[in-house]
Amino acid sequence: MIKFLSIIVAVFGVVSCANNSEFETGEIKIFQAFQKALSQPKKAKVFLDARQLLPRKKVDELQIPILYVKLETGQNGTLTLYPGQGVGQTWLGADGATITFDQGVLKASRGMGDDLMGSSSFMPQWAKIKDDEITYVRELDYLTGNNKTSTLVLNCTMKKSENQEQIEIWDVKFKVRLFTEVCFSDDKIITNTYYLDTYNRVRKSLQYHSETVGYIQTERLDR
Amino acid sequence: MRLKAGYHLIEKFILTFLIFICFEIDDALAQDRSMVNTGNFGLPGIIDLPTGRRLPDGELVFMQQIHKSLSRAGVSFQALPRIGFSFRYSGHGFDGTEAYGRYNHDRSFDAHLSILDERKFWPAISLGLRDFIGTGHYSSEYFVGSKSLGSFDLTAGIGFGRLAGRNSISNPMKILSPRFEKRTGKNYGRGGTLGAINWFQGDASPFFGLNYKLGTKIILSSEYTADLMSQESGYLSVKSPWNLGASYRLNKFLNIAAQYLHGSEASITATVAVNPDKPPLKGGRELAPVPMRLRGVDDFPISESNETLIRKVLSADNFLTHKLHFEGNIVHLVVTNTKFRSTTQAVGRLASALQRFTSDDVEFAYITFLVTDLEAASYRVNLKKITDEQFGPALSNSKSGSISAVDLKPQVVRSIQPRFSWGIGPYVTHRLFNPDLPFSMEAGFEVASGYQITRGFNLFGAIRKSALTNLTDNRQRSDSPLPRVHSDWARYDFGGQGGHIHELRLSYTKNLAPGLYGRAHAGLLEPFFAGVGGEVLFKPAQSQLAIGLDIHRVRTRDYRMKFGLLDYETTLGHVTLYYDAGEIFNIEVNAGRYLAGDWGATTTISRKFGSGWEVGGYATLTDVPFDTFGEGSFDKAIYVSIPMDWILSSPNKTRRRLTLRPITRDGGAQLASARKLYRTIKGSQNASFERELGRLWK
Repeated sequence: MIKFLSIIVAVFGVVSCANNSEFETGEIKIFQAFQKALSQPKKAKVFLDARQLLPRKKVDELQIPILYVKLETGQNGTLTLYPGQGVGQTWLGADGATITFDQGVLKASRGMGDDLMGSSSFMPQWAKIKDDEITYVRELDYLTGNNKTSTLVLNCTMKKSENQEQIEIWDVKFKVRLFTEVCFSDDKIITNTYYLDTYNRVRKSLQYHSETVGYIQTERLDR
Repeated sequence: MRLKAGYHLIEKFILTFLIFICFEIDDALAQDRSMVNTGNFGLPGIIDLPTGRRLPDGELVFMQQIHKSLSRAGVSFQALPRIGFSFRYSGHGFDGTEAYGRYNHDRSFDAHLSILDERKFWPAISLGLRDFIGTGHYSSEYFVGSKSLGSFDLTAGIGFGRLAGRNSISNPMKILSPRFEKRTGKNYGRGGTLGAINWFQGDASPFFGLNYKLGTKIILSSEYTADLMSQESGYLSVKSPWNLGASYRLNKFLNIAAQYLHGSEASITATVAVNPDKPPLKGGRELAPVPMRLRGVDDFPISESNETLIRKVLSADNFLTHKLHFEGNIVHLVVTNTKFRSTTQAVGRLASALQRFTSDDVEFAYITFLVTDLEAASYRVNLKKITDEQFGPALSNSKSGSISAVDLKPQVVRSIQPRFSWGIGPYVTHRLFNPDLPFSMEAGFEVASGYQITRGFNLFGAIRKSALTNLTDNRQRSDSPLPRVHSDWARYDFGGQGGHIHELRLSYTKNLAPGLYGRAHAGLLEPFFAGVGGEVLFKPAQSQLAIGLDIHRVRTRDYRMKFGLLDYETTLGHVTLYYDAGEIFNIEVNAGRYLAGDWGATTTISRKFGSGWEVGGYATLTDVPFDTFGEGSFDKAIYVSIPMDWILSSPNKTRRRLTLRPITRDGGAQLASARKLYRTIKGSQNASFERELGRLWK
C-alpha cells in the first residue's frame, strides 16, 4: 500500500502537465488544487505592524487618503481609497481585499473570507445626531455555506458623548467626539465606537464585522 | 371487511402524515448536532440501536466499523430535513472463503424518518426501516424516542424483525390489523428489490439505552439490545445483551468510537461527517471584485468605455475573453470561465467590471459563457440597476430583473484557445463490491491530445497504460445470458493492461438555434464501444425543463481496446427529460433502448446544494426480467459529487464524483458518452445561477 501511494504521489508530481485546462485529467486537477492550497503561505502568527512599513512622515508626504485597519487576529495594513464615486467609500488593501464604508460606518467587505456582503441602515447623518440617544434599525447581510444571503437584523441605539476629547493617531493628535452604538439582535449584542473629528469624519472606530472576523479597528491616517 | 377498510384508512392517514412531515423544512427545529450521536448503522444511534433524533439536513456521514467478525463501511445522507438514508457494505464472519476471510458480503439500505423533534415535555420520535431492500440480512423496523435530561440522552423504543428477539411481546399494532400479527417471510428473489413487504409485522421487543455527554468531545454509551444476533451465531459469541461504547470527537468532521459488543467483541468505528452547507472556511477566499461606480445623472460622467482595462480585469480573474463588442447601448461579452465553479459568482465579477469600466451610454451587457465550444448560457445585465445591489445583496433576486438568463442567436466567436491541446498525467480507477475483491484499483498514465479543426469540430484521443493494478486479481466472470455489454468488464481490465486507446473520436458540437444544442461524434467512443451517433438538446434559458434526444449505432470493442472490434452491434437511443428548478431536487428521466437491446427507463433524482455539492441516485427498469438480470435485479447506483472549492475555500472548477454502483451487469446498460450536452451546459444555466444567488457579488 505504501509503495502504491508512493508511486501515485511520484506520478502526480513528476508528469502532470497540460497546455489546456480541459486536457487535465481529474487527478491532475485535484493534485494542482491541493498543491495550490498547500503552497499558500500559512497564516502568520505574528503580524508585521503597518507603522513600520509606512511611517507618519511617509503618510504626510503621500497626501492621499489612507486608512489603517487592524483585525482581532492582529493582522493589520493600510488601505487606499478606490478612485471614483461608488456606493460608499471603498478602500483597497495590498492583499486585494476591499472594505466599503458609508459615512465611516462599515457597509461591506470583499476578499476577507466571511465577508460582510452588504448592509443597510436607518442611522441619520452624523451631523443630525444630537445629544439625545437615537434608535434605528441596521441590517447586515452575510453569505451562508449554501450560498444564500442571511440577514442579521439589529436594533441600534447611538449615543453621543457630551465632551470632546483628544486622541492620537500615528503621532498626530485629533480633537474628536465619541459616538457609541449598541445594537441588539435575538442572540447578539454589538458595541461599536466611532471617534468623529470636527468635520464629522470618522477618525477612528471599532466596528463589528462578522462572526468569523469579529471586530475591526480603523484609523484614518491622512490629516 | 370493515377491518380491511379501517386498515386502508390508517394506511392513507400515515402516508399523508409522512408526506407532510417529510417536506417540512424548518431550520429552527433542527437539532443540535452535538446531541446527535451516529451509531454503527450510520444513522442517529446509541451503538447498534437507533435513537429518535435526526441528522442535520444535508449531512453526509461516511463510516467504517471493524471487529473480528465484521467489517462494515457505509455512507448516510440526510436527504430531507426529516428523512435520512444509509447504504452499507458489510463483510461478515472470519475464516471464510471470500475476500479478507469473510464468510459473506452484504449490501444493505436503511431509512430513518423523524416524526417529532424534542420539545420540553416531548421526546424526539422517529421510525425506521433497516435493510429493507435486498436480502434483508439486518431486516428490522423500529419506533424510537429520545429525551435529553441534562447530559444524558435517554432512548427507548420498540423493534420488529431482527430487533424483536429478547423479551418479545405480541405486536401491539395487531389491534389495527391482523396483518401485523405474524411476520411474513422475505421473498427477496435476486436481491435489490423491496421483495415481500413485511415491515412492522410479527412480534416486537422493547429496547433502550443512553448516551452521556462528558464535556464537548466525549460521549459514553450503553444499550440493551433485543437483537439475538442469530444470523451471526456461527461465528459470533453473544454473551450479553448489553453493548458499551465511548466516542471521541477529534474535530468537527471526524469521530472515533471504541465499543465492547455482546459481551465478547471489541469494536472500533470511525465516522466522518460533512455537511455541504458548512464548508471548512466560511465564504471562501478570493480577490475582491471591482467595486461599481455610481451611474446617476448627478454623478461623475464617463463618456468612453475602457476596453483595455476591462480585458485586464477579466484576465486577472482567469476569464478567457473571446469577444468584447460594443453596439449602441449594449456591450456583448463572450468568455470562458476557467476559475469560478459558481456561475453566479462569475456573472457578478463580469457584471461589476463592465458596470465600472463601460461608458454611461452602455446600459446593458450580454454575457455569454463559452464551454467546450458551446455557448452554454447567456445573461442580460442592466448595468444601472445592479449598482445598488453589489452591497445590497438582498435586492438581487429573481424578480429584480437586473440580471436575467436569455436565449441569444448563436454568435460568431473566434476562440482564443490553442488549436492543438495536449495533456499528460495520471489516472486512477477503481471497482467496488466484488466479494472476492471488494475494493480494487488501478493507477497509470494517460496521454490525451486534441486538435480543433474549426470551432466545435474536434479530433480527440486518449491512451492509457496501467502502472500499478490489482484489477487483474478479479476472479469474477460474467454469467449473464444477455449480450455482455458491461458485465465483461473484467476481460477489458485484463486486455487493456498492455496499454489501450481509451478514446479516439471526431466530434462536432454546435448551437443550432437559441436554446437548441447539437452534437455528433464518431470513433472509439469509450473503452467498450466504438460507433457513431449524436444528440440534440432543447433548453430554453428561462425554462426549468429541457428535453434531449440521442441515437447511436455502436459495436463492442476488442478486449485489448485498440482498433479491433467484436461482433456485437446494436442501435440505441433515448428521449430524455431534465428538470432543474434551482431549488432542492432535480430529476432526469431517460426512456428508450439500451445497449443490450432492452427497452425501459432510467430515473435519476439528485439533490443539489448551493455550495455545489450534489447527492443523488438512479435506477433503471427495463423489460429484462429480474431473474435474467441476475444479482441485484436491476441497475441502480448512488453518487456524491464534491466541488473542490468547497474543500479549498478558494475558486476552483474541479469536482470529484464518487459513484457507488452495487452491481455492473448488462440490463439497462447505457453508453456513457451518449448524452453530454446537458452536462456541458447545466453548470452555466439559470437554475445553477439561482441556486447560488447569494454568491453573485462575492
